[in-house]
Amino acid sequence: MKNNIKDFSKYNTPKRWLITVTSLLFLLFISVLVSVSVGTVKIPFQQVMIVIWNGIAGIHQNSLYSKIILQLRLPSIIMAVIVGVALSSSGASLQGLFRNPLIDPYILGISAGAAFGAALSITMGFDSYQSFYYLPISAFIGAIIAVTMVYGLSYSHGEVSNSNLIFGGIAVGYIFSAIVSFLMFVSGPHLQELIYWLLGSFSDALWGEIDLILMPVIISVFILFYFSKELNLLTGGEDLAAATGVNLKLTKNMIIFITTLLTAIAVSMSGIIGFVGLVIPHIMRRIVGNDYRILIPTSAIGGAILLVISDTIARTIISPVIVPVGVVTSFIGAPFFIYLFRRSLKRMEVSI
Amino acid sequence: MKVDVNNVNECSNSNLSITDLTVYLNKKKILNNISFTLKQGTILGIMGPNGSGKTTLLKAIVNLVKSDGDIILNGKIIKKLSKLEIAKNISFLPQVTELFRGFKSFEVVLVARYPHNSDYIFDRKEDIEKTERILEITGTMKYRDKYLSELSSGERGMVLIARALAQEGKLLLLDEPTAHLDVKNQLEIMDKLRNIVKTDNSMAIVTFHDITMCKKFSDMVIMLRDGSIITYGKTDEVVTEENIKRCFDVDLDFNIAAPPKKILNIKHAHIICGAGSGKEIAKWFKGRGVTVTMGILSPMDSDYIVAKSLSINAIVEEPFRSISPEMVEKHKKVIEKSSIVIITDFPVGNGNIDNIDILLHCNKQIFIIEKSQPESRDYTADRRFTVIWNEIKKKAKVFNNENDFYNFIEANRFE
Repeated sequence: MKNNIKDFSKYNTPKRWLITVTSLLFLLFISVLVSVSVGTVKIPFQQVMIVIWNGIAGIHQNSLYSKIILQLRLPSIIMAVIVGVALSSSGASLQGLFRNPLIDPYILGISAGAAFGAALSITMGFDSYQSFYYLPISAFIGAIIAVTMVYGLSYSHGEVSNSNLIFGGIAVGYIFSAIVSFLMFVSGPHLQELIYWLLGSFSDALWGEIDLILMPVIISVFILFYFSKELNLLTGGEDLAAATGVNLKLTKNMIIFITTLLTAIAVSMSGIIGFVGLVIPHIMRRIVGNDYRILIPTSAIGGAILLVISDTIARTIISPVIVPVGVVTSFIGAPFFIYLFRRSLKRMEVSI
Repeated sequence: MKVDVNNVNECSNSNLSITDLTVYLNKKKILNNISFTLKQGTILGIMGPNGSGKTTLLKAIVNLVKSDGDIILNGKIIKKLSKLEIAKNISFLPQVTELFRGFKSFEVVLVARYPHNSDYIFDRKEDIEKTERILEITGTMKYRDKYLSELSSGERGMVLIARALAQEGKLLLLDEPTAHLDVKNQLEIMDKLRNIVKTDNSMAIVTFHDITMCKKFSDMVIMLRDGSIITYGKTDEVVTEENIKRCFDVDLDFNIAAPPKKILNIKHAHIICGAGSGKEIAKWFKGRGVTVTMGILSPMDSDYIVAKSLSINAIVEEPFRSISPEMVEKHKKVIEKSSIVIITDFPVGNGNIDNIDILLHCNKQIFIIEKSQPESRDYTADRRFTVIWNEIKKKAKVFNNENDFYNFIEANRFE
């Protein structure tokens, strides 16, 4: 057992990469199928397959099952997949860039900025009853404003240092959190809606939103993957990476830009879902190793799996009430993480 | 402080030539018109006190800091190359690197192939073979599956040098590769490095803190001070006591222009020190009319150079040798005669542990000036030094800096 794991985490070959990524994709596919079939109304697997197949083939369907699957369950499940991919791949890349295991995708103040945008939109009354798009758009703008402020604050002498970014993220985060708290205090009847959004949920997902974000997310994750060799080199420090020919400025700016885009998209679509971006990369490090060429794709898929499972539990645990997915994520992710952590301590593995 | 023109001409068929390299950082001049040349198969040692510009010089050569002047390597103008092209030609090992968390030694060396395979996502067969060959040459194959954090600092240093070699630059720039190593590891690493440079017919520029090491392993030497070359040439001709004094700013005129000093009633202070940690204290006592002796030193230690220039009696052992029993006896006698004994914090390994050991049975008043934890400079087997140190601490008076110690000495009377 021990030896297997040692061999498995040896350096990357295309074959190992392909096997690992394909098996995780298969796991994701299974969890999506299970997730579609369970719920207040149970749908047999066979029916699920037929409806999805017909949906892909573009055949018009009018059955009850097809309505439940195509209009209610599938959009939120696909959204869970996209958000999971976005948050976990961002988390893994940022941990690599900052060489700090406690970094999550919200480190640059994105969550606070997005919460500010959302809170503003909700308290101003531009809520989901008027248009489904007001809230996500203003959350997205809030997130981008926050990161721009952080980046601007950290910029000095032609460069942006990691510690400055983290300090900037904390400072800007506190400012926006204070405004959000104030808005919650004065929001009166909108308070519950705001809290529900803050805790994160996929239940409002629409096919229109998915169409909008799918391509940007896929392209962004490929760009992060493209920088995985640079992230590998950065584990030895910035000086050494630069001496090995890495274009530090480009790498840093690109990773910050892309992860900001991914995280802002995720937050604006589903609210603030914690834990995934921080812990999925760690879980994957312990399974596949620390080479970013395999860590980034597996983290992306792993994040998707965790969010699909969490969403399923959120929908079913006290059905028909839908529990906020962020609550569930931590509940099932944390014990698994503790288990892996303790196991690696026992085996005296080097932790990151 | 002009460069010796004859020396430059002597190596005219060189492969690295640097002319008038000048560096400003935040409008402050860090390097001043540095010019030198380097031939294939040679090691150039760079010596100089802290802040003399050693690291900046290396960074300027590899174009990590902006500079004026020309750097030509094998006919290529370095500044006109892309980052990747530079990395193909020059391997630079900075003094401080991070630990490559989660990466095994093999991977640490393998990722250095980046300048050659940056267009590929996966490592090519030739990259893996090259890495294996370099692990063999450097004798680091046995650590291939270990994390850097599991290795000793000597082993880690060798893996990082292997990493620089995997990059295949014809010019190696190593920033104090022997810092924080004990003498045995220093010798081992430098020995291997020299063999590799000679067999590959490559070039290396290495900065040193330690004069002995620099003298032993460099073919050519540059002494830097305040960003300018003090002297440059063949090691035997350049590393002289005279030049070392000029370079390391050994302050000879301690009596002149200094504030009036209180004459102490201490007759004889004995200082056990090393690696430059005791020279200030020696000067301080000497300037106050106290007879000073110094504990067993290496003749190339800057403590010894100061001792000599102040005509302080110091016990000296041959370089690269453990302290011999005769010397220990001599040391004992000197300590017997002294009124107080002062110990500074210097690195202790198996070679010089006898310096500390001797104090276990010493009944003199002992003062310790300790700025760093004993664990961090303990290179003895089984951490013996730390144990002995803590034992001695029980009967000694401990200070965290020199000033507290000076104040204490001035305020108290001793026999």
